[in-house]
Amino acid sequence: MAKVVVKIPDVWGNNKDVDGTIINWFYDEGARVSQGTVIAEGMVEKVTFEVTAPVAGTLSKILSKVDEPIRVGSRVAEIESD
Amino acid sequence: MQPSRDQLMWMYRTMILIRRYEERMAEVYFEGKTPRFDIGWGPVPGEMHLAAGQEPVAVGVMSHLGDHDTVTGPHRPHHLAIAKGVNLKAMTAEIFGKKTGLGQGKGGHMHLFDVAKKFSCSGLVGAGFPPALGAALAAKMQGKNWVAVAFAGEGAANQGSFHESLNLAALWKLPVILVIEDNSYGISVPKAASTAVPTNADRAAAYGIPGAFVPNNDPVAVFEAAGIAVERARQGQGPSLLEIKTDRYFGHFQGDPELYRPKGEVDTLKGHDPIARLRTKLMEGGVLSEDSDAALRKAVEAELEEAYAFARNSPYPEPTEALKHVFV
Amino acid sequence: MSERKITMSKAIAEAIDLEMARDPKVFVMGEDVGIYGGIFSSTTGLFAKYGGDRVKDTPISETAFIGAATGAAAEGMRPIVELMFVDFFGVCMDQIYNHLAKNTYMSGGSVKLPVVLMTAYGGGYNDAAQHSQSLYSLFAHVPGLKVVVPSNAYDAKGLMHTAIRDDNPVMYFFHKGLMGLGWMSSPATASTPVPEGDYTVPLGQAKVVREGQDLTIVTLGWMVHRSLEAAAELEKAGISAEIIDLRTLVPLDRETVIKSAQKTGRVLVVDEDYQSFGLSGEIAATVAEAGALKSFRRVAVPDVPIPYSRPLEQYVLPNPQTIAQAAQGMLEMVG
Repeated sequence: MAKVVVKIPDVWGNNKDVDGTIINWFYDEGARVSQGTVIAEGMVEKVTFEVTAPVAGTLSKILSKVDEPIRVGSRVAEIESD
Repeated sequence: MQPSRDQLMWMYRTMILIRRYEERMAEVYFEGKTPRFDIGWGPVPGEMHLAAGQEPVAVGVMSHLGDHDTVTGPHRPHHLAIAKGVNLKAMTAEIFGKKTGLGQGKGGHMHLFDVAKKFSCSGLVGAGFPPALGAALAAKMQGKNWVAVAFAGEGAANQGSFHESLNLAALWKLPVILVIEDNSYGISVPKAASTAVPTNADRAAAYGIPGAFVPNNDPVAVFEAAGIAVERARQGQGPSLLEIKTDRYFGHFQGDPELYRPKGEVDTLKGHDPIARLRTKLMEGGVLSEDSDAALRKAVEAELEEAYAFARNSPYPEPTEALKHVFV
Repeated sequence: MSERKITMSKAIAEAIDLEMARDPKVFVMGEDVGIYGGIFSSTTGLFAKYGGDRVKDTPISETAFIGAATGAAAEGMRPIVELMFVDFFGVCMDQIYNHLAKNTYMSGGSVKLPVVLMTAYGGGYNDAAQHSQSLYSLFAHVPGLKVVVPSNAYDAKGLMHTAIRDDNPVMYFFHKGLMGLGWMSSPATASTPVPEGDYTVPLGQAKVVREGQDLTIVTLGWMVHRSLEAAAELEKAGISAEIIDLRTLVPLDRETVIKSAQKTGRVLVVDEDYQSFGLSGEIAATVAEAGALKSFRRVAVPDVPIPYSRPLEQYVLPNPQTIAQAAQGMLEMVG
């Protein structure tokens, strides 16, 4: 068991100084997720992207709510790995 | 038919006005839409289809038209409205949803109606052809030498309304010109994947009318082709079909991620920009100098500033006004 | 594995995906359904998985491709066609209402037309009069078309499975503002837990989404969410509202409506469509014919096109406040 932070991947275009946001969380806190599961959907400017679980475990904490600003590398969730 | 010096300068200035109008609209449209790009938010909500890159079509054709001539446009209408001389302040106010707008906030950017300038547009693809026929019919019945021009994208040429209109216009020899703006995409679908013939101008032959394809997104070439078609119509010789190759710099609508578009395509297109090309030509011809160009651009910015400020500062309609104007 | 919550657009695409995997006769066509994945993401991922032969981008030629769906279905295929906005029906209505809706009947039942015609409806995001209409009642009025209007991801997926498997034409309406798209706000309640496998939600079965005693709110689509908000407000005022999500208009679950009307005695229809000659009148007639109509009201678009400007559009669309006011007005009436 270890705490793994879910970070926003670099799907930004050339301008990294634009805020993006999470538009949908597909799991609530406490949910079990597999490695690679799409746990959320983000959006930057006009492009949506997927946020996947880096490890299997329990989605212990959602750190970034829908519509809160995020950037590349933002810590948006924590997973307690198996 | 070559454009005069004044006509060249009018085309140049109007293209800059259109381009800057659209660029400014893109900025305003983005206001209030961060961090999430939500189409319903900000001072200008709803769908927004911008025509930057398509200026040559508008100015090349509109050079030959006056206030008596009718124009119908599609969902991407700003360049056509501006070149037709639609009141810029009232148009912008309409796009902001204001009481002072062309339609008092009822219509929005896809539904602009300026009776004085005989301009209208519709959000339905291919919907502008039949009304243009009607305007041409009205002119003919009233013994006027007025013409009507319907503009639509290349995607619209696959609608039944296009083919029905071509046949009827040819049959009744109406003073109407159908102008297809080929910007390569119907939303995401490239022309080759939607259209069975290389150019829609070829389709004119099926209806026994002249059809011309104008390549290269060049206002002067459009001017020449449109001049022939308009003259023909005014002299009672009937309809023509033009297809003009043009370029769409923005997405189908603001919010379109454009994932279907090859990377770098827009940059390549901008390397062949019609405004820059005409500028060079005017400079070389001694028609334009650095100073006069700067002064012209400054005047354009002032005109835009006035229109946008008017729109922004105008009041919204009262909510209950929603109930008015279903009938007159 | 605990339950994942997905958006309505993903639920719809998932149902189509599962049906395409199950039955090679199922295919999709429409404008921008391929690489783009549907303007409202109803077909996201399908092109990559099945290719252009089964997920076909069409020209902007609705008469041709919707009519072609009828023809292909008559030959045993199971087409899903998308009409990008329901507002666009005007360019192809003949193929829909004179052919897709009638060929089965006119053939004495010998022609089967398993077509799903899916389409986006609704407003609330300032898209003006030609891109914001609801219009489902218009199609429900024409005999021969089943009409489905889901309000959430779970129902959307189950109803899509049912629609595809149905041997009759089904008009499948999804509200743009329920799809969970990043670029258009959606009520949080539209995304729901959705099983990953296939399941069906039957047509013609309304759902009581909130039980109550004092009045019955009959609604569907986006208005389910707005009615739920209104009901929460009414609760604070001591009024207990029952809410029925119709889910399908054809077939219409009149029994559930009548039963609830008999219980509460008051029926309020909340409808995003135009008020006159539509759904609200049909519900009034249904409860009146059953002798269950003691008190009736409706909140709908007041017979004007959908205006562009924000204050105008907000004024004509039913909202939680206008719904709650109408409900309160009914309870204040004598008797």
